[in-house]
Amino acid sequence: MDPRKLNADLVVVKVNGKDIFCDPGAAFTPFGLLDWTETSVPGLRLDKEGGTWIKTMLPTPTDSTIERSATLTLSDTGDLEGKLKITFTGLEARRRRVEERNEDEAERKKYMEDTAKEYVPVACEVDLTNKPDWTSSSNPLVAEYSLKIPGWVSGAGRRGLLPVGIFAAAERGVFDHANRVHPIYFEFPSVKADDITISLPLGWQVSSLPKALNNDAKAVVYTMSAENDKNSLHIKRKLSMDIILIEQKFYPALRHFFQSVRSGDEEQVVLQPIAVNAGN
Amino acid sequence: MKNKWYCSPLQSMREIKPSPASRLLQIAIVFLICVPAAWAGDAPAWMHSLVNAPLPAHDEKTDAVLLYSETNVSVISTDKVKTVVRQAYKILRPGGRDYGWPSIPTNANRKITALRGWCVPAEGKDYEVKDKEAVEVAVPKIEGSELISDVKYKMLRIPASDPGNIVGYEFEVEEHPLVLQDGWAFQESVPVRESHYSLQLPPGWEYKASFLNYPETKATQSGNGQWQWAVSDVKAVKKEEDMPPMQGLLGQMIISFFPPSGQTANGFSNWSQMGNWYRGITAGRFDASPEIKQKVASLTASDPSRLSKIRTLAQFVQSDIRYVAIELGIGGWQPHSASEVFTHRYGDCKDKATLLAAMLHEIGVESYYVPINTNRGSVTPDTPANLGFNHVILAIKVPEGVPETSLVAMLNHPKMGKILFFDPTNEYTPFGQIGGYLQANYGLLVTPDGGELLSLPKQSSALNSIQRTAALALDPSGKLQGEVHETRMGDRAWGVRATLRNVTNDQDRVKPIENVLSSSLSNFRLTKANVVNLMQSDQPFGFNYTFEADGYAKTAGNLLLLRPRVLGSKSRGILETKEPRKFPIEFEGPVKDVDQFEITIPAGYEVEELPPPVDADFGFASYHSKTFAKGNVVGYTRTFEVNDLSVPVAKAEELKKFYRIIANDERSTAVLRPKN
Repeated sequence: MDPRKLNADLVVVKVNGKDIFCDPGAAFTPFGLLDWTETSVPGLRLDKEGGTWIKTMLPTPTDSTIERSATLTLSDTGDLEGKLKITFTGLEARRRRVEERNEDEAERKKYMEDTAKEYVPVACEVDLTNKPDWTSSSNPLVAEYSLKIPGWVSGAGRRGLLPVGIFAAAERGVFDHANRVHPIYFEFPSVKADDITISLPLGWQVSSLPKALNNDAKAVVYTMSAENDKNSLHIKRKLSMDIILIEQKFYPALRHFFQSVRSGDEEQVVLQPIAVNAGN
Repeated sequence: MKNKWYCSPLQSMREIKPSPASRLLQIAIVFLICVPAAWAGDAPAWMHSLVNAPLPAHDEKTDAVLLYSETNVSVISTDKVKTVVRQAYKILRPGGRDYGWPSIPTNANRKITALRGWCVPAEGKDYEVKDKEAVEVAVPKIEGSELISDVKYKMLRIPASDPGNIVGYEFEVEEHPLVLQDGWAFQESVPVRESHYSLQLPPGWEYKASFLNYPETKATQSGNGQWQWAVSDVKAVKKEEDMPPMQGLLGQMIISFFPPSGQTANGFSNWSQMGNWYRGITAGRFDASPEIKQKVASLTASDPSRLSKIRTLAQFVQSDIRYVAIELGIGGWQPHSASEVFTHRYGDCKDKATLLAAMLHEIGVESYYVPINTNRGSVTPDTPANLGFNHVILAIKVPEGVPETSLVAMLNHPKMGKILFFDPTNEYTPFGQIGGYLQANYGLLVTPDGGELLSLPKQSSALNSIQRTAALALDPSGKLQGEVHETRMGDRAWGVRATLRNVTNDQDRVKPIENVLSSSLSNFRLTKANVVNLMQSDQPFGFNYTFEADGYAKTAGNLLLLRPRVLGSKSRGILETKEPRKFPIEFEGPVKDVDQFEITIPAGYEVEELPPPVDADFGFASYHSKTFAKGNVVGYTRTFEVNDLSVPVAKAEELKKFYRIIANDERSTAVLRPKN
């Protein structure tokens, strides 16, 4: 045993027979969770007999989520504009609160706006409209924005094509290379869930919707669906990652999964003027 | 380029402001001193007088303001100058904490004789840190190479450098000056409330002061041989992406001193005199040793022409002399002798230029040093002569009768005749050409007649290009596969060659190709790839590869949606910002990229709709694309060309529009339908 490797102190509280791990030194950590560096690792629980080796808790994906909810309007020129609300929970909220703990309001505003911009695959205009709660350990970190994405819908003759992956930029450029030497480490399980409603411009209608996708690889799950309701479009996307460490031999499967995620995000809703019958 | 910043590590006499680079040094210090020193002590009266001083105009994003700056320079003799500097910042935001880490450059010729710092907190007692708490840190090595330099930084950590507090410091420097010149850089990336500069000269001495990027301020004489300048409420120059270099934007005063006897070996007031100074410190450095003469003879023995001999020698210095910078004292400017460089087979930019000059001389070809700053815009015709260069290349006098077809980086000088610019440090640019960082840039041609600031040639955009052709086939499921040939020239080849130079296995060699594919395709399999002319830098670099991409074309009902622009992205979002652009947008060099893709569509399908052609010509850049159908093939061609190297602020909106047009074209889609 190398005692130097035990570099943190936790408290284990038994509540109704269940062990609850707490780190009083980890600011902004919601009750019941640990900083990711302390999760699913061996620790020595001290007791009257000396000590017992235990393993710390591992959070579930739903403990740490990024929920992006947007209500947008599509303009005649293909721009998307409207409101966006991003809710960070669990370790997703903690990470951001810790990162910005020493910054002022102007820097935090910029940080949150940059965060939103990084989710959108193209250049966009973002303005934070609320004051997120940076001090809480338990409340979600909620950011509200006005959002404009110029030219999101591209033209194809008389049709317009709307890609469904409006907040999918983070999954681009992930695992690009075919070969991998080392295992892959994810800091903590997490879920990204998008719920987007788009009002279509007058005189336009949905001509074709992509098929709903459900790529369930157990530890990683991707779902995407697009529905049409009269003059509006409803897109739902979810990416759930219930993994922290993957051996190198599973890299091809993981890479393939992310390729399918990107492929799903590139699916397009076909729009066309109501007066035109495209025949499909 | 690895030597961009370090060929000339000499700094001005002012202290170095906190920067990301210096931040690395600060991190090192954290490990060196386990317990940060924090001493109670009274700050001096000049700092306390600033406590209630009104702040200069600033916005909410301003990290700090410079409340007070004072630089007092006393010229004692031609080889001794004393400088005392006082500065105090008010920290406004957390990002301003770095101003509590002053770092002062020092070397063998520049001794820091005193250094102290203070903090006047918004509440509570003052803090003081003294010389003994300072740490000396050496310059970090150059990425991918070596740097040995005697330039060090003396750094202080001022306690309580927090928003609301005032941090200040004072230091004294005694210098054996390399040249009798100083720079007063009074404008910064934060607003300046007031800045003062005073000069004390010995009796009979004179000075010449030139203002740059700022209206001239007249000096007031306050005694015998003493002059003072002051500026106040100086606006901040904030960073923008792809802006001109700060050195070419910030308000500053360049001041030269002259003893009663007139010119000295280390004084100059114009570029011609600076050329003489540089010629003086390089005299005798390019005398060829017997070993050099022998090498020249053996290298060029089989070369049939003068031009091929020149090319052979240039390529030898480019590729066989390793870039290693050993710059001690005047070594930031003075090269090692050619014989030393040849013996050791290493040297920095000026060493390589010196060796090549010596070798060329042996075949009867003369050449001249050209100090230059690799950040175009740092030195312009408006710049007074100063040490604002960070690199040295060579101007080769082209002998009569030499065929000039391949000598692109050449100009016809009214006195010197035809001269060819060549950078022996850049291993990947073919002889006859120069990189974008040198084109239309100003360098100092050093000849026996003195120095002359001149503009280097701008090359054709076609010499810096990616030409990509692809023959691809689409199947009914949307899978795309086929073959791509990619030819890269100029700087666009240089980057890939540099990346792949030390790569030894095929898995890593294909990574640049995978990067190209992944930037445009959501999924792909690279099925075959090879590299052409990796090390033959006088030939175009090439990638040939085949790939497969499942689901490239999307289905929509019975339609197939196909994006004809399969690979490559030319659009950029740098101007999609809330704040209006303040400075010109700089391009590294002229560019001309051409894509030609042919996609065979599945049997049973025909084209229903194609994206419209795009013809966007804004003068500074142009973009033309066309999608066409020919039989069962959808073709796509496009040309992206950058002509000007700088787009003025007045045309920033045009550039933004230009990039949006490209982005729109890159996402445009062709619609395929089943044949009836």
